[in-house]
Amino acid sequence: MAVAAIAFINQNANAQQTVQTGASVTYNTGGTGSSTFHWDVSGTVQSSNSDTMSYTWNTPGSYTVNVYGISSNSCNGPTRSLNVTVSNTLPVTLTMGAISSICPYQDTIQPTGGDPISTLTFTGATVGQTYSVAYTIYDGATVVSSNTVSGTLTTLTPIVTFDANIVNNSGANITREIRITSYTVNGVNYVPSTLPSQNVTIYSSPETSPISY
Amino acid sequence: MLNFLLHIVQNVTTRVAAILFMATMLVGHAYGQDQTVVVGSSYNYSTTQNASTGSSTFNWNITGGSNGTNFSYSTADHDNSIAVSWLQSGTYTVSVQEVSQEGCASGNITNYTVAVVPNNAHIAFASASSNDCSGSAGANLTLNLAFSGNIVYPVVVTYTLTVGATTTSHSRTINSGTSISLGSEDDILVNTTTLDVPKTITITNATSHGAAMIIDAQNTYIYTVWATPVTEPITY
Repeated sequence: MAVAAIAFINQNANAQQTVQTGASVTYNTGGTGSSTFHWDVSGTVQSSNSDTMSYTWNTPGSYTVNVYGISSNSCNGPTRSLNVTVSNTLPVTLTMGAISSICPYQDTIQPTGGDPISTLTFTGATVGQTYSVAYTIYDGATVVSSNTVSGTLTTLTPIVTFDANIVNNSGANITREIRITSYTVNGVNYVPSTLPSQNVTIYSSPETSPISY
Repeated sequence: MLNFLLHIVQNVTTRVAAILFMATMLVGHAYGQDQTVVVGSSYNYSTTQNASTGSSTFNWNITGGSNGTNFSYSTADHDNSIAVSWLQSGTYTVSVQEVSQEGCASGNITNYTVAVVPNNAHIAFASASSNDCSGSAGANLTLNLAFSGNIVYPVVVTYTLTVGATTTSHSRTINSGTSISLGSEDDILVNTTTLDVPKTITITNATSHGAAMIIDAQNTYIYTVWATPVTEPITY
């Protein structure tokens, strides 16, 4: 199943991306003075003329995503490129362990809670490699926030805390989905066709009664 | 009898043709000219040695005016070429006589007639401005010039290029036509900034085969290189 991967990680010019067959990725750019943008994938012009372009990778192989801005005077900006490898299986896979229910974030009296914790499992990676995981928190189909967690693999099963600060003022338990949109190991970004995700329950906070005397 | 009549006709035809040929030569020699130049221009005139041995000398002379007033050349020069600057209007005859190594002068003197006309050559840009997107580094911008009067190539144009507070000066030689390609030294086609950049070209001097040209009012051209948009790296 193809799942749209929407992340906001700034990549350097030499970044490499490896995606699994069937994965969909939304690519972003920007730039001063650009009215429209020209996108192509290995020379095949894409219909998008905005600063984002979504693409579904269906065929294994090596590709290049290119984009340049076009000014109101029809002048072209420099071309930015990204090399993408499409593979049926990813050399490094990531799974996400279950997330225990948590208390909501309290931003006034006691700024704690609201951060889900999960155990990630990197298969195919090596201890000592750097990693970065991009995730998005959903309330149903609505994006609540996006962020990254990163570090060095001292173990292939690191326990990570998602900096979410989920607030619950509803008076009842709520559920949020944490979906990993892509992950990077040693500078190579991976996008699986099925994005790892887990639901987390955020308890409601009890309301403290007034003090009486 | 028939052969006799044909011989007379052939003789008459030959003589008529010869008379017409001589008349043509006389007209050309008396009223024609070999070259038209403008006042202020300079030319090199040369001939080839005919003597089969040794090195000949050549006696050059120009008639129709006086050396230093109407024209200027070195009378001490006895090579097979001389440099002449034409100073005033008129019709002049350049002549040369070869003298062999043994001191024998040739039996003929070769003449070359030069008509010197007033220098009324004008130059200006054909239009005032244009604009385009950023182009290649090290490439020229080609512009059309407006010429009038007596133009004799090569035309040498000296111009300044001003970009912001920086002004540079260069020259170009035009051997034909009315277009000039300039600005490659200063990457005139390039603008990698996000602002439009006007580049001002001004003709400061021009010569037509060495003669100063009159620079008309439209001697400035503004070439604006539009801003180049920035494209940020791809993120995902």
